[in-house]
Amino acid sequence: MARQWSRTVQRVGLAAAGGYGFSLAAVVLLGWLLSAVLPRSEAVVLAAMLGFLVYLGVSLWAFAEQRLLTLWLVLGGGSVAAWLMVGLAPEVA
Amino acid sequence: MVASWRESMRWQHTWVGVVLGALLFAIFWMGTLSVFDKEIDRWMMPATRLAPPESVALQSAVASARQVAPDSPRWRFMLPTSRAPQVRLYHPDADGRLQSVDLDPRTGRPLPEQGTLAGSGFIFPFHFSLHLKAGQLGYWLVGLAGMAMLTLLVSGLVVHRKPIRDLFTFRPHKRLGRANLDLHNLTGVVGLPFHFIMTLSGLIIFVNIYFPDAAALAYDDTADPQGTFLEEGLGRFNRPPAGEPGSLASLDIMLSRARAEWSGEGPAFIRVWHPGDAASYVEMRRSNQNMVRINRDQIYFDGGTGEVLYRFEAKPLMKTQRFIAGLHFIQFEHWPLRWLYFGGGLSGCVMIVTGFIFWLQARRKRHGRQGAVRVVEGLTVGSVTGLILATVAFFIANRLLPLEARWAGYERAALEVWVFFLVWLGAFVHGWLQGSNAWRGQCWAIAGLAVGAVALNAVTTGDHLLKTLAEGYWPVAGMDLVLLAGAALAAWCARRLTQRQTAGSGEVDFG
Repeated sequence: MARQWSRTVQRVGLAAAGGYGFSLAAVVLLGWLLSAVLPRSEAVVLAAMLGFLVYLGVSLWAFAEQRLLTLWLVLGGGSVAAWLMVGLAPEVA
Repeated sequence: MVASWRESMRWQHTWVGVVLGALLFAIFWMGTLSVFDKEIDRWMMPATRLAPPESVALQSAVASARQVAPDSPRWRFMLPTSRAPQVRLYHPDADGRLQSVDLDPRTGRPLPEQGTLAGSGFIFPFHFSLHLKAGQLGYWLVGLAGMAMLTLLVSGLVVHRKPIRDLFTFRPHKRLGRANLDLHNLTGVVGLPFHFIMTLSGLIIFVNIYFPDAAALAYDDTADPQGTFLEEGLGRFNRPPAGEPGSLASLDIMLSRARAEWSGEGPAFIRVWHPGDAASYVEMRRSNQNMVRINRDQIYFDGGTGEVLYRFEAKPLMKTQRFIAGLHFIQFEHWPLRWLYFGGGLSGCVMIVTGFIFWLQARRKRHGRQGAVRVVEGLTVGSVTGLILATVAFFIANRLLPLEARWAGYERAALEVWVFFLVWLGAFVHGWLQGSNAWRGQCWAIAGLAVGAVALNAVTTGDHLLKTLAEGYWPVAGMDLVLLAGAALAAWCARRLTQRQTAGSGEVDFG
């Protein structure tokens, strides 16, 4: 029972927070990639709008995927990537 | 695999729906009313029940601004539209808080203070910020609910899996449980495109709040990536004050110049930056009345000479973002569409309520009246009929409080808001105490108060329904008619609940 609860809390947390982190990573990265072919303000706004659809997809997937480890790797990994890109970007430049 | 996928979506749909349904209902309800926020303003602010003006006395409006807010760093004049006939002046006070005063468009003189936040000041911001001012907590809660709504729409489609059949199925005379689920599926499927687009566009409006770091990599060579992105994407002009007094050239001449550049269309607002300073400048933003897009077309004039300093028009993708925002804001003129939006919003409210009732009925059979069922029942009553009741009580308070009302340090506008929240709180308490019986009581209360609001409008303003209908004054006549229709619906619900002596049915009851 307790184990079931723990799995549910992890899953909901991954869907909401992990899903957001993953989407943010996708937005930041896509905005950067698209800026090669678009004016960069256009690249960023397009990427950010698409981010909501990415978030929709991954947060639904978080409820469907049975293996929590996969979720941790993909959504947790995406969140770490977002944190690195947002936190460290100015130093990289 | 497919079965477990559907099973996981069923689990998601059930629990995300139950946990966030109350919040979603509040957002949908306030959003539905916001479709007519300006009309609610007219009803709640009788001094602004004016005919839309032919032209605006701009110089007199500026003179009024000099009197009302002589030391303000900026004045923003919202110009009249067909739905809002007054000039509304916004100005930050000494503490930086935005104040507003309504001006008569023909004379430029301030209209009598109405002491209300009304539709555009209370109901509309409630829809997207919940009036939670701590940080941007309200925005983020609404954003979370919005994302959850998108997932619920998709998972709902997976769970119900017969969308075409649902489209043609409504059996109101079957037992309540069946009729309720039919209604949930029907509103869900018919409204699906509308609900999906409205939810997604609502999120996209605040894309800069929800993805505040979107520009981190693309603009990593700038000190402030997001700020630079917004400046490039949305257009900003800045000039610090000179610290010396200066004069303001004729706004009318600047206005006609802007009109000439915008193929005859005027601005939505005129903003004077650093009024009275030698470095003052005037910003004009193109009107949204004739296009879907909430546009960012801007012209800046030098305050002293009237010369054009800066022009801006957004690029295509940013225009797309503003178009999607405009789909949601519906600031353009289109009455049939406005009513369709209203109906679409109500269908969303019905979808949420019937979802709740389905959950309650399924559990009540299994668990009787204890525990979680009881909590959710109280929550549902308070957040559905309770919210509607609070809204109508807000209208009643608006008509009952005298203009000079003030109590315990609160201004009149704040008192109205207090009435709203106290009635809402009372409805939750009533719901928890009475359980499913509370539906009936609150439906009767809604019906009584809604009729009372129509009567009070007639008594306190003289604009009774016969008069407004005869004159074709639709903002007030429409509001009264919707209140009466809502009262009839609420009374019908209450009667049906009495006959059946069972739990609530989910028919629309709006005030």
